[in-house]
Amino acid sequence: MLEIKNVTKILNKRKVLDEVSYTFNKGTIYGLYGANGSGKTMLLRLVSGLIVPTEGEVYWNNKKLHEDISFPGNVGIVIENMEMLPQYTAKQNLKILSRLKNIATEVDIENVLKRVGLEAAKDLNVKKYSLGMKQRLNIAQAIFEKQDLILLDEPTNALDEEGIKLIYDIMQEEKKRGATIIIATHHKEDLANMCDVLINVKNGKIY
Amino acid sequence: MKSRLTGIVLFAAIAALQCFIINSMAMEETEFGFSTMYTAAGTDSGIIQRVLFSYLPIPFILFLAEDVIEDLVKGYNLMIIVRNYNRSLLFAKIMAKVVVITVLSVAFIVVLSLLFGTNSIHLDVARKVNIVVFYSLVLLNTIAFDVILALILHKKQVSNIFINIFFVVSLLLPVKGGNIVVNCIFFPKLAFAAVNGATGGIDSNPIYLQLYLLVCFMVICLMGQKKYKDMDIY
Repeated sequence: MLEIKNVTKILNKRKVLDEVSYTFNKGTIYGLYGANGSGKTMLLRLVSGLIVPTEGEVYWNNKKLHEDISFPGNVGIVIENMEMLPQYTAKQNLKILSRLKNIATEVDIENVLKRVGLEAAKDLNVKKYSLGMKQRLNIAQAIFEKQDLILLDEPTNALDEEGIKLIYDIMQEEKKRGATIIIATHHKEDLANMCDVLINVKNGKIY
Repeated sequence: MKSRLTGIVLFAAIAALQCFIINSMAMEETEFGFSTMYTAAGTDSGIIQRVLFSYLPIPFILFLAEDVIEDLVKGYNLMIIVRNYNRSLLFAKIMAKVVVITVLSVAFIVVLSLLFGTNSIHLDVARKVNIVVFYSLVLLNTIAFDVILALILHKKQVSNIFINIFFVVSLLLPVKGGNIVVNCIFFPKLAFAAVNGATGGIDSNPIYLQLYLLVCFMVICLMGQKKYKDMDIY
């Protein structure tokens, strides 16, 4: 379970998150929607452990971030500026990541590439991938270790209709597995069918 | 990866060039010219030449080590960062990488000197060991300083420029080996035998300066670890 308690984040004298409190439960897909600059991405980065709150606390399974743990255990994240190593194939990239925690096997890697529709391209160097293929690979790395917390920032970017449907199906499967999934996007319509709970983020507050 | 390979090749080439210059220009008669070539005082062109050639491999070692800053903050490494449970441990792993890079760089320079150096004045093993230890400790401190500055400024290029300027200014300062306090503040000078006393000429035991450098390195690492623990990663 992920708990945010009275979290405020100030950057360059501006409150980007303003006394946010919320509890995210297992086996649920949450959709954060709001305009650019509303604080959605900041909230995702905050719960991932990449950003330190100015005030307030974040708890993952009753462990406090930046005190008991630095990052939520087994988190999968897709955010801006994430890049795979271009000189390696999709399979090789996931293999390198899998060695850090030794949770995922070779079979898991093969399966996840199949799930995101990259089986045919798994042995191609990532530098030859289109933007859509790279996004699918990013999503693959966020789920292949059966992550308990999945954070996706604008996951449908660069994806065609088929890709968007694929992501929808994958998230439903991950939800059934019991993962906590938080998706941020400024397209509310993308979230409507996918998510169980919709949260409006505006001026750093959630409604 | 490509830039790392380029960095290794450039460093190897520059280290070889330094060795070649020391030999062909007969700049230094004592072994391990990379450390013994530098003299601490004077401003005539011969001295400036020695400063420049002593400094030659340093920017390339810093370039090699700069990848570690990337490892801490961005790109592909974001996926690695969130897979670590503990920021402090991650920082420690990265600094261990810094130690390995430094040891390998110094080992390469030493091997070049041993194999190809044509210096007529030989040093005993104890002095050689002292030279290598001093050179390594100064490099470790320089790189660690670069890393922590990059974390504070969030700009790798600015910290790199500052560190290189600091290194050169330190070498150019006309302070003789006996002035321990100034040499400790401008610690890059301690990489060189004329200042650190590895080949004699200084009253105090070199071990105290080596301990000072080791403590400095640990303090810089602890400061860096504290900074990394509390900083935002974009």
